[in-house]
Amino acid sequence: MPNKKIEEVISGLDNQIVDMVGQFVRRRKAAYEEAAIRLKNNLRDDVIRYAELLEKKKISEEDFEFLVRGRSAQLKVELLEHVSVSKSKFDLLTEDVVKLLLKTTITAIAAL
Amino acid sequence: MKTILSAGKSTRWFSIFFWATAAIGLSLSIAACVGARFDKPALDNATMLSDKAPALMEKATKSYNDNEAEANGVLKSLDEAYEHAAATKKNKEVAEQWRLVRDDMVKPFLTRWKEKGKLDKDFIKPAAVQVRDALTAIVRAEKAKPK
Repeated sequence: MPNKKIEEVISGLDNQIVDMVGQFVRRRKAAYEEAAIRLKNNLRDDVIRYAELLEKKKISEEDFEFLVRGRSAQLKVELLEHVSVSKSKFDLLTEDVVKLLLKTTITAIAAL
Repeated sequence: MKTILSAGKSTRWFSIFFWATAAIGLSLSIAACVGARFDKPALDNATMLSDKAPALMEKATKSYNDNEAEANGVLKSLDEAYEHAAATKKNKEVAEQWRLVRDDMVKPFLTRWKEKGKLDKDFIKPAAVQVRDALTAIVRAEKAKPK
């Protein structure tokens, strides 16, 4: 049965796709952890720097609050960057999966 | 015998048609999930503003009135960048980045400058660094989009 053959060929791709996704998820997880820690440390360091400026009376309390709020907005922008980049990588992965699927299916159809 | 052969042939063609349709349908549905593509004008705009906005902020030791035209120009560019990002399909993270830079960072700074007339350099410097770093994050997000 030709469709049985194609089913078999497509089922054979499962492990390849699982491997591709597995690599992507592991990489993303590690990148997320690393980025989150780096961002948290940067935020902490900057807030300490602003507090020092306040302590030395180089900036006012109002300035200090403004800078902390601004730094928090910057953190959100940077976190969104990671989401956007991960989505872009996922797009590349889905494209690879589509290409693999199309190539294998078309080859299998041609061989019928 | 002829009928059996003919039935086998049509089953084969049906199978080919079925799998080809399934493959096309699957690729179309996955393609619908793919995010925004690389957008050269958006990248150029982000790169331009990552220089222009902090450079304007560093002028806040001087009078706002003297720099009002430039401030309005930067705000207009930020509005356009946000509108462009928001109008681009599958681009909500980048649109939100632009909204945050405009509404939570640059606009409040310019409002403060306008109200106070001039600002102190010890306040300006970290505020300008924040905006530069945030815009650099947008530049990186734009560069990472698939071409």
